[in-house]
Amino acid sequence: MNLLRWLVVILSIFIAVILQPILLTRLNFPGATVDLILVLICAWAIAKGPIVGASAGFIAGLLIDLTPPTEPIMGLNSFALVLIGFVVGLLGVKPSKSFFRPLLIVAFASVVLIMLKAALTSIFESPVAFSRVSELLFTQAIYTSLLAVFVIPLVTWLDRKLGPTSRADELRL
Amino acid sequence: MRDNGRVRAVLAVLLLVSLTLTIIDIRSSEGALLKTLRATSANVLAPLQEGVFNVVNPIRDFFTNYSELVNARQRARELEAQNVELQEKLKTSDDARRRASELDALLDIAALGSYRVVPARVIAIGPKQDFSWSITIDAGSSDGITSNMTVLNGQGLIGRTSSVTPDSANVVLLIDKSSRVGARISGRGELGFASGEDLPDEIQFELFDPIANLEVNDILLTWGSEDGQPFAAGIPIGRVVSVQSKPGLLTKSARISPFVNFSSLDLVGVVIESPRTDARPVISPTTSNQEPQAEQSE
Repeated sequence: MNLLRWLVVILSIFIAVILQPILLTRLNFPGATVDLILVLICAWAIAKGPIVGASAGFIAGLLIDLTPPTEPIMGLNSFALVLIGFVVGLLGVKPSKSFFRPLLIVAFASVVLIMLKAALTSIFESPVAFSRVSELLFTQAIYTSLLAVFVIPLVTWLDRKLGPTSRADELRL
Repeated sequence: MRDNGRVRAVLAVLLLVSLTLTIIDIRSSEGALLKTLRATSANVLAPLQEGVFNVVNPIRDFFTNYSELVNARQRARELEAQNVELQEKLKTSDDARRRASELDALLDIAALGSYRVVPARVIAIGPKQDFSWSITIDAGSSDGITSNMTVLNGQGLIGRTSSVTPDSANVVLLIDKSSRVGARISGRGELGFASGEDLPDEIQFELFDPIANLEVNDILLTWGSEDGQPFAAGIPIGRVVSVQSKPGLLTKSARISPFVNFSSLDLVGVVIESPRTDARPVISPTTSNQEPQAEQSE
């Protein structure tokens, strides 16, 4: 991983964090808001492994905490997203030609993220109703995997444009 | 194997840093490092969001809604209409029209004319899976907005401002879990609390008096805080959908459907100046010195 690649990762996440509350929350699909940030973290994690995944999650979490309108307790978003990025990176390590495997991984990540956030919110703020969570889980799994159809090829293309890296390179940061 | 160890170390460090931030944030008070950091970043990011919003919004509007492709003059007309609609709603929300003038005095509607409202547009909306409901508007302290001010639109009460930067303000919506508003039933004046339930189209109302009459389709109005902050008086909140009376409980509760459609917020108003205190009739003559509204703020 060279500096340029890290800059591209950070910039793409920054753009997603800025655009999400402006555009995606206005779409008003039933259930959850389409989570571009999560899909982007997953795409980088699948492309570049657990370290990049976890780091991308950490950066995204901090940016979410600092971006209006939400004012959550600092660190909880990054805690959840680091775990997600890491696990997705591990799952994505096995090179796969399958079209559906990455989509399934992203859907799985979205489900885990909502449950993690519900748990963290319940612990640190106020208890979350189960009915709310179940409604979000289903819709979010569908939205994120649909979005991943576009985002994952885009990130893979971007990654290839930036030149080749070996797997060992990625692990060495 | 050495690589595996490094991967685990990175994970552990990132998780630890996250949790450390959480603990610092929970334990720190206002003005501490993290809060200052957040305020500073909001100062930088909110104008950026507004800029991106201004670029992206016309494109979005072009595809979604032609009537949104408008200039400032039309927005002013919208605001006038909003104002008229709001006053109209306040006047007509009582079922007993013949007692309108009497009730108006009671509900402080006469005083509403002297509220000063700053118009603002919604820039950013929090994601629904966040288990909190908040928005950012494009007016801030340079427009006279401070924290804990009433936010409303033509339909009714939206919420109150929380943190404010020079050019933007965050608004905690009525439906957020942390939201609690003193409310009374229009026309009868029974008092209670309306609190958010984390649901987009439902809030809970608790009536103080367990034997007071509460019926479906009753309308709730804010009862007003001292000096109109955080909540100005007489603003429509919602309509009673169903009444639950649990035996053994000291209060009677009801589910309320808010008048505001929280999924399509665009133009809002912030009440920056409440009317002069002498313009407001005192509800209870015996407690005029104690300000019965004071206990209502959260």
